[in-house]
Amino acid sequence: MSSARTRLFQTESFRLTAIYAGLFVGSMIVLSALIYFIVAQAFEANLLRGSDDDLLAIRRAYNSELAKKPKKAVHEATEMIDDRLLATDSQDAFLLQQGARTRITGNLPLMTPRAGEQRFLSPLPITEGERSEHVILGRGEFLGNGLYAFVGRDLYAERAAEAKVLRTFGWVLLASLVAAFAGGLLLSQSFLRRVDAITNTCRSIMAGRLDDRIPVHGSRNELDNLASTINDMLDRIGVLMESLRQVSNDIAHDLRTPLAHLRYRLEQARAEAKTAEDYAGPVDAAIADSDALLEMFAALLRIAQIEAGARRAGIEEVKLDSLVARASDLYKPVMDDAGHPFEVHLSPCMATRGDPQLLLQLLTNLLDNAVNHTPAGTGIALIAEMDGARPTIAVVDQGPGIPIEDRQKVFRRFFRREQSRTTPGSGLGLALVSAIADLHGAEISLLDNRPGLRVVVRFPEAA
Amino acid sequence: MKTLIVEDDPVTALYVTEGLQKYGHVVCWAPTGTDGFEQARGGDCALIIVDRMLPGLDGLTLVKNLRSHNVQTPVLFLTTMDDLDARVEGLNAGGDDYLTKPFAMPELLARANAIIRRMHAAGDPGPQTHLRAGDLEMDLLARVVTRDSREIELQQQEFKLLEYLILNAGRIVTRKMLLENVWGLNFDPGTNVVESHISRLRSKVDRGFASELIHTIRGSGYVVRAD
Repeated sequence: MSSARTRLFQTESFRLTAIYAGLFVGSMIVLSALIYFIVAQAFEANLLRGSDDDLLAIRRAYNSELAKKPKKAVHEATEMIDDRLLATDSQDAFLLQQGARTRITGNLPLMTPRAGEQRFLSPLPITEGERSEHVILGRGEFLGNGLYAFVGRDLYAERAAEAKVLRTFGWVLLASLVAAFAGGLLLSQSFLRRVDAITNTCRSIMAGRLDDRIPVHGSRNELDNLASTINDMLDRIGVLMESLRQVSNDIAHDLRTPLAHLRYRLEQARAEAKTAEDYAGPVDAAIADSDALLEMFAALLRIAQIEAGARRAGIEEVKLDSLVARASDLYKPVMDDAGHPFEVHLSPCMATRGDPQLLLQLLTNLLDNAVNHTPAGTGIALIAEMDGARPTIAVVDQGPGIPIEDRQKVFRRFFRREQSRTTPGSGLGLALVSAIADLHGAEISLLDNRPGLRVVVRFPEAA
Repeated sequence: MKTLIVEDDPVTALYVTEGLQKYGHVVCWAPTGTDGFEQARGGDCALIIVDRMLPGLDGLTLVKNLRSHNVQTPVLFLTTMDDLDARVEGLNAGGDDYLTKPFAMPELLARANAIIRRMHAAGDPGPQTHLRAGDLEMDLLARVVTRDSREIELQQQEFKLLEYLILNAGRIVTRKMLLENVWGLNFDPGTNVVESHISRLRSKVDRGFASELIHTIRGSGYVVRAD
């Protein structure tokens, strides 16, 4: 459980959320400090303006009488202050004193007379809060003839308001922190769930359940995209593994027979041969058998390589008509020797992209099949033409053809039809043809030529 | 004629050594790539036969290093790596030929001899314009073939085939070598392709003349010999 919790905190999304929340809190603190400062300044300025107004009123009252009767002037000022004190609320502070020692009126005790702004702990009786919270801010002024007046205000209410602002900021901060934390947890939890799904699938595949796939929610977000890409990759790997498995099965089953023949031959020679001449025949045959076996291995490997798409380096522009010309040059004498009338029909063809060696091998395999699986005298034709926009090669014969039910099977490795058991061949030729066609995105079809077989290879539309 | 074989499998090394010795090669064996490089860098070998996968230094790097040390001894790769790209890699690295295991001894011999001959021929001034084997003459520029002062008409492919055979006159040329060098194929198309072409060429070059020029060596290949 605790490790699961640690994992939640260690996710990338949680980390990002934490960084974001940290930045947010930092800027909130700076912002609230600024606001607090500005508000405090404004409050104090406001208070000072109030007490300055009072001070001005006192001075006016004093000055208005000063010229005629100085005694009356002091009285006027005193009266002014007393009036204000009658209507006072607890935050006003007044003092009028003569010199440093004679207090005339007000609610403050004697002060050291000093002109200008002053700030001190309130000596007034307090009704709420701590004494330390009551600070008086005000201004003192000499009115003349040693008369000193001070007007101030208790800052307590303003301080309380400021504290309230601060507290509000604090709560907002706390709330957003909680929201960020919860959001981060939620995010990382959903993220972890998706990643866990991927991890679990991978583990399960490693454990041998190769068909497992990562669940895709269909929401097209980046994790979904990742999941479906991984699934596609797994499918591709599955196809490759299947082809490899097929190859090993083929090797296990279909190569056993020729190996058994080889062994039988050697065993018989061992048992019966007496002279070197007696050995020569079986040994030659054994060498031929091994060569045939090695060729089958090579063909299997080649098919597997082509199916795996391993050979990409040799891909280039290939002109099918010149390729067909090469193949027909190669096979003309073979056809003559085997007694097959051989025709070549070349129409100008668009180029396609491909591996010339592999495509040539595709052609020679098809021609080889035509020669080997039709009786002598059967006409064979090699055709290169355009089928719409698709370059097409066809190998056509007038032999016995292949019945419909066998037309897919002949592309399988080692598949040989009953009728062809006696003709030379490994059963791998068409498998190789099909692998090469697949690699080039070409479509291969076996059609009835009435009579005979028409093998058509249609390449993708030339770009 | 000293030949160096760099091969980590002792069975193959012995097979190759015995085969080459029978035909007059002096063979040295290096079981690792590093060994091979040390022995080859002197440049006194006529031919180096190199495996691709070797302990120490792999064959490809070995050959690249030799070439960068300006050792121009011809190299024949002898390896199990047989996909087409591997072959191109080998030749690009500075190899002169590429033969895949398993191989037949005659094939290796024929190729080894062809490489060594090519190396010697490379010293000759300029490309040859006339070839001669017995009473047969080839004018490579005019593309005319005469035998016993009778002109023989050959198709383009037949001309190329004959040219290659006569260039290697006196030495065995294998089916595979013909497929690679005359038709530019790196696979065996199977049924009798080479045999058919050779028999057609023979019918033009040898038929009606006192002696045969093109001889078949059973299990190996063909050789042009004027005797």
